Amino acid sequence: MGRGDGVDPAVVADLFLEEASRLGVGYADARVQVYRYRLVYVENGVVKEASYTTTAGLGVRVVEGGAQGYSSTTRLDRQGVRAAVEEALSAARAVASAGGLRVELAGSPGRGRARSAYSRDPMQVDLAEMVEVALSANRAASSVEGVASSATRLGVQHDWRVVATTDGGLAEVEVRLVGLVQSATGRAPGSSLETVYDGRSMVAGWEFVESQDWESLAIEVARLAVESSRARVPEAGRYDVILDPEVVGLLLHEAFGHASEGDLVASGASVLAGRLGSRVAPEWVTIVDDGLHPEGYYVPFDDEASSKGETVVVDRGVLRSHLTGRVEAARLGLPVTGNARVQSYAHPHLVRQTNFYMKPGDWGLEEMLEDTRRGLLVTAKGARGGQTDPGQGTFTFNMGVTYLVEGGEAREPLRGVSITGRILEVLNSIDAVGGDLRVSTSVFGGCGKGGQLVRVGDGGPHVRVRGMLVGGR
Amino acid sequence: MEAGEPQLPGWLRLEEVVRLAERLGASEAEAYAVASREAQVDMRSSRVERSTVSTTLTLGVRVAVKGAVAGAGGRVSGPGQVEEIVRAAVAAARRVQPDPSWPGFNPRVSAAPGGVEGAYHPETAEAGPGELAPILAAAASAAASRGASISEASAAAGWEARAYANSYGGPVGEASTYYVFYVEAVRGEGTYYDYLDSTRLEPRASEELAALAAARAVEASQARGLDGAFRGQVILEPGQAGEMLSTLLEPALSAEAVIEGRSPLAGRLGEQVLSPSLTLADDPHRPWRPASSRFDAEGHPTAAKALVASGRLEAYLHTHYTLSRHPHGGPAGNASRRSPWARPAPGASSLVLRPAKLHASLDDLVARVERGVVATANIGMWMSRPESGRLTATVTHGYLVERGSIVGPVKGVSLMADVYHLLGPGYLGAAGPLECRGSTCAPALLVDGATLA
Repeated sequence: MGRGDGVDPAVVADLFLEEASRLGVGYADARVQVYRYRLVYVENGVVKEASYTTTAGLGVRVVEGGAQGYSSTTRLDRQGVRAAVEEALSAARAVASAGGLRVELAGSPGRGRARSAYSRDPMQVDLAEMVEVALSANRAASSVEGVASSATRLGVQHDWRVVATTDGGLAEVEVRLVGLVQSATGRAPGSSLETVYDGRSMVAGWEFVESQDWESLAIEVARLAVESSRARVPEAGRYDVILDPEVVGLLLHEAFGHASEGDLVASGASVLAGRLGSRVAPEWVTIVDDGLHPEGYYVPFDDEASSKGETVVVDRGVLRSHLTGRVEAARLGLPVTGNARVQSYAHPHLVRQTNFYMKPGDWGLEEMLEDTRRGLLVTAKGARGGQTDPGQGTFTFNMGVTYLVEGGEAREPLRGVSITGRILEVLNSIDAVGGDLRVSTSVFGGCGKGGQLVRVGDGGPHVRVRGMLVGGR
Repeated sequence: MEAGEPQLPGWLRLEEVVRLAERLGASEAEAYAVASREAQVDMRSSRVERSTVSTTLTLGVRVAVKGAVAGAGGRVSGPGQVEEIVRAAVAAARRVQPDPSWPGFNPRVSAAPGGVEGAYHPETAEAGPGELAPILAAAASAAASRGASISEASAAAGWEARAYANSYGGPVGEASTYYVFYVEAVRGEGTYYDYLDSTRLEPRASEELAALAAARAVEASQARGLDGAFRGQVILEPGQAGEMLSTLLEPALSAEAVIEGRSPLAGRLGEQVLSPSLTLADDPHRPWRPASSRFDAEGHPTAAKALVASGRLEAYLHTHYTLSRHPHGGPAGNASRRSPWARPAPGASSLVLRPAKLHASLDDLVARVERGVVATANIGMWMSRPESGRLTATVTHGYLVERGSIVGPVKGVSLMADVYHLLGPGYLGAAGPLECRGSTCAPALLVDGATLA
């Protein structure tokens, strides 16, 4: 299959603008997308899945009489485009007749064209080469004594979008993303099963896959799985906790990032509503949402064609901004930050994070460990993720490989650690911020909200939180 | 499919797709297609915000070339894309290693006889913004009457037509409808969200759920955390009990997890794994449930299956592939897929937990609690560990119970337990009725032996 499989999004966008003009709609925008994905999945030495996905479609939003209607189609000729605009117009009129919320659009959309950098197009790589990379990592993990199961996933993505708006916006963005994740389930004699996984993804071409030592990563994951299976579960209670950069990213994204999303703020479902200008963290904490971080996902424009740079959300402890699209910015009277995103052409806009992370401080990890009399060092290796209730500001995370910290050293491995808390209390309990910023993204998942999943990045440096609630025995 | 129900477009004939793959060099092939139409209306701040209408047609093709299997797929709108997909799948299969255990595609393609009660509801199939917006308006009124507003809500309805064919049979097809209502209520810093699903529009149940969400948001604004940690009892409301089943037991009952060394239930057929008072079955023909179906995602006929009978492990969830590799705990008929072109993996349609005895109400369970928590909502339970059975969650909404009485609302309670202890020696009782959501149906459960902090 070729670059766009015969579909030129720019041509479809032109058709949309002509049809929207012909129908005389008040405002309309279109998202034309060609999305391609390749996946290789190997389990215990057997290729279980090798698949190609290709989807091309058009999503249309019409704002008529202050009401929004959406439609979508995979039929990309003039007739299909016209039908989609008419259907979105009809949906908008139905909302208006139901006395719907009146929306306005703030700001002006951007114009531009951007493509993520790559040397070797991952979509042109022979599938046999992909399979070989996944198989070799999988076999390496299986070779570790005590491994009960080894699974390897290798994915490559090409997402090509054009956003066109009737008020002059036109943005074309192409992103290539590649990555591998290894999972291993270990069982030491007499213990229960434990699964650990880890991986690396990068906005890049196949050259990133070629540059990595996947077998070493797979072996490390397998060893950690076996080690974790014989580890004990700590007592539940409050601990001083050192969080690794990926955990910091998870925590910020889930527990603070969602609460800073303007749609939740506007509807009163965020603990951060009404707190702009207030201190929400110590002065050594600065948090940003940056669509262009080189280790994160690439979002130079959002899906309303607004440009996306760095948004400082918390500046030295003070809440400075919420994340917005054009609708929320108008509703809240705030600047447009370029965070209106969609999973695919078929989905409506939601306010989403891009790459949400904490800026580094000046502590070293060794210094942090030496300064911690007794506590935990938690990592994201094998972490299942996290979830938050943005209205309450409550979060919970199921952590990965964890170590008991005693006498300035990370000593005994532990398992079954979850952390829970209220984000504003936790932010205010941060007393050390490391200098080792790391941001990461993934080709296998992303952030879920409102039934949509979008690629994001997150991260931070190592961070110490005093007196964190840890679930355990 | 019945007359008048939606079908695949005439230009997409799955048996021809299979033949094309064979002509292009596939030893065998399968084609799976899903057509759907959905209307959704979203509400914010107690006002209808927008409406979305979408129609999709998705095709997946998997082929085997001498035991090497690969797939391709995507959304399609014409015959040209179909041929591209078939060619991509065949080309891919030629580039991967054979699976030494490959048994071929499912040779028994057919639908279970009879119909599933309430699978297709014409009024729901045709629902649009005009039918869904009034449901949301009524929900907002119900929430207001309980002292809270709706921060976010949505009502979605639509139909789905599925069809399957492979080199050995088919096509089989069926159509179904669905309705999903989601609501989040807010009062000050108190919030509460919940959802319901069905194969038909449920305006009254949606209104009642909005009222419940509002009442709980009001309570949540006064909720407190626990002081310290203790080991105690937990009452899981039906939705919480169901989530525990789908998160921890369904993956462990997957024959794939058993074969690949990821299940604590491997090698335990015939053993007592849960309390003798509990029976767990998959019921793919359960009336009015969106996941009910007469054939699974590889065209195999579906049938009810007892997985755990009176606490004894009787069967696993199987696909044709897993049953060929592990011929115990069958039959097949439990295939599900992430997408039409993904490999089939075992999954449940409606996992139904039936206790030997049901108390009349949740109050009967509360009266038996010495010290514990009623869990009405959580975050994070989905992150629990099925390979070990370790349950972790944070109870965002609940009640502290002491000496048989509710003391007051609690929030932010860390919950950790072993699911096989909770549903084994720790199982103390259940109260009806069974409530169904997603792929599970369960009553409220009273269990002992959880760590709460």
